[in-house]
Amino acid sequence: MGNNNDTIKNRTFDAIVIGSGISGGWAAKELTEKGLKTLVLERGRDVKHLVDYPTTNMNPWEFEHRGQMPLEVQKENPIASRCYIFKEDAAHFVVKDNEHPYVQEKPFDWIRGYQVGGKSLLWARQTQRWSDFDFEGPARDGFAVDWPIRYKDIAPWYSYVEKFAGISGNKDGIPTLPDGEFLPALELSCVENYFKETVSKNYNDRHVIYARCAHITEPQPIHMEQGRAQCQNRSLCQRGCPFGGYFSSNATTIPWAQKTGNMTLRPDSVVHSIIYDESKKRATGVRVIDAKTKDVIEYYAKIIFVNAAAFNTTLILLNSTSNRFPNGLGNDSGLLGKYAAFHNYRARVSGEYDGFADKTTDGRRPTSAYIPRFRNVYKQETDFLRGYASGFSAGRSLKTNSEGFGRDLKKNLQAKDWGPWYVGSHMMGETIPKETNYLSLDKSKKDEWDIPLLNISISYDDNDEKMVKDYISQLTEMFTKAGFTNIKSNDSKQAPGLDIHEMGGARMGKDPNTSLLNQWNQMHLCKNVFVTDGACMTSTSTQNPSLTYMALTARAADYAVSEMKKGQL
Amino acid sequence: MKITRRAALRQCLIITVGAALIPSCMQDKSKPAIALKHLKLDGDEEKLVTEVCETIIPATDTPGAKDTFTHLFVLRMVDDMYPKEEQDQFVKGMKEFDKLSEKKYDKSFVEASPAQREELLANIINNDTNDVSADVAAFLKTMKKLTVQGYMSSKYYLSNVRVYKLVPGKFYGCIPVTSLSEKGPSI
Repeated sequence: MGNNNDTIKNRTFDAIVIGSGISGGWAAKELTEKGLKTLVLERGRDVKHLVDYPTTNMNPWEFEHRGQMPLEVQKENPIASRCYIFKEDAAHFVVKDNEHPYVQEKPFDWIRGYQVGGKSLLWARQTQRWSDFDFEGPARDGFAVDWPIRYKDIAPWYSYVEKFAGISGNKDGIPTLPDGEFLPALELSCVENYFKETVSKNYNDRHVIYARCAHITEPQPIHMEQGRAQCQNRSLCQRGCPFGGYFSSNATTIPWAQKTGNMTLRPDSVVHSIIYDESKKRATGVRVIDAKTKDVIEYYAKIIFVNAAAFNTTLILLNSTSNRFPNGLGNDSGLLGKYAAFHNYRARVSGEYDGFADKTTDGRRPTSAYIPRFRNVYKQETDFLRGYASGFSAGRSLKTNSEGFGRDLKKNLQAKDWGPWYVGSHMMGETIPKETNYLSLDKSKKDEWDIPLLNISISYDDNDEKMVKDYISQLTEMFTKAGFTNIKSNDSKQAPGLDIHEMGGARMGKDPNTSLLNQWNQMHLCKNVFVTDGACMTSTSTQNPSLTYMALTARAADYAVSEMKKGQL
Repeated sequence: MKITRRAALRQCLIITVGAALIPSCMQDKSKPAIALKHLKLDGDEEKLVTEVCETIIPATDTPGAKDTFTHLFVLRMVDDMYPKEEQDQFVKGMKEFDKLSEKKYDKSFVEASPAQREELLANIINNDTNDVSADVAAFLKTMKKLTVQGYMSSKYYLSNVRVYKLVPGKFYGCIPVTSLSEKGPSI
């Protein structure tokens, strides 16, 4: 650095990782720990743990607009403004609409975080494992293509990443949601526990559990070694945590990789494409555009991990054209960009409960309760495929009475009368990946780095519509049986994307003719390129996907390095 | 672990950016005390907004709107959160409202006594269909909404009435309401 030494040698590494979010951070950690000199490319700015969390210790009254974004900013950013994270305390971690435009062939709210750590700073930290009910879904129900792996392949890697990340949970013994390596759970509220009991009384196959989450509820030596401390239940995670209480790349994998001495982190590096060498029949490096100077720089490595977040990963692969691969890297099948999917988060059901009038909660909690998928688990039982999981929470607060003005109003605002318990749930529906839901490169429009804009063409289908209706009717029934009152449901009809669980584009599979990646997340047709972020997902299941990306990444890195050592890569 | 936590906190304190709320000191007739981007208010008009805030939430044995800088929050929000048409209506309603005071008491709202201010507001709020234009009604509706929001999110309110804790520590899922201190639950 500084002496502008531009020899090829200085731009050559053992490995390159594109992206520093949840999966890129893990790739960086695993590869550097195994001794590989690794270049981590991040298109956004650097965000250092503790140092670059400007709002983390601000009180509500210290925000000029008490959290709201000014109208002008909202008008300039209609997409970002639809995301719950785009508030005064964390908007600086969300990509503004004009920073990296894309084409919406159909409406899609693409929420992104361009900085070191990516969206790992902002995620909802829910970490439920997949089971074979998920991995076997496409094969059983005849959609997409069969996953090349099963639960047994990934189970040890779930354990591996859980121990390091720190996952809080209960061992619930539910076949659809395998138990993991858990730190103690936080408490459920009275009404959450009550609902759990009534649901298991009324249904054999439905469960309400504590939602497993990436929070350190009881630090282990491995967490202290990372410099992280116990979660203090601030529930201000999206600002960056001064305790390192939740898992983010910034607090966890990136500093860990840094400590090995093997990582070179280069922020402000927009990856244009992966360079393919036709004589060597392998990728030799990546072409980077400096985000600020717009200089084109090439970096070289033996292996490349693509972790740019699902749709940007697909964009890079589509843009990596050569004589051998005129339609994008490894894309003989023509499937690159196709079968993109997401989670259906459209519906909510809420209500009130009059019981436990003498009880309440105190403090905040960074997670909630969770209802694993119960629809179509053991057999097909509805007129739609697959099913949905649900978040559930029940809490209580003081009533706000703003009647009158003057002394009366003031007295009303200072009164401490308890309101009822509020209960609420939201759906997390599996969507069926389809060839007609696809990503492509726009033919004419380019971004400021001379890279084609991503064209997104994704929409709901009839299966999704039926699932929304079923979720509303089933949760309403479960709430009714629990004696909840004032039950209301809402279908927001929000466009796909706000779930921030976009997946697919370069799916895994057994056959190069029907998939891009093999069982090791390795490109079938370009063996030294690995894709371990959301782009690899063959199907979506219902679980929040980040934990699965972490496990797939650690597993793929282990495979890649062992193949390298055997001289196979 | 304690040391880690303290170290972490110390590092954060260094970088914490507190938004500075500067109280209005000298209220010159022509010069407003707060820099606004869209609204064009002179010092008198700003004072009018301030006193309407204070009439909505007056200082008693506890702080009122002015003590909690709620009037500055109200101005900031009207300036940054409302579309131009609504801002124009706010200003129009505000000017008309002041005229109602002139008409009734022969003095501006700011010059009127606290009792007169209260009376005027009570009359309008209690008979909001009579005599009051849509502009005045909109002005007062916005004033009330923002004053309540500002007061309830002020440092005073969140430290003394409903206690906000930046670092709550333990979460309690099910405790008797009676076990809470007089201050109630922390939020």
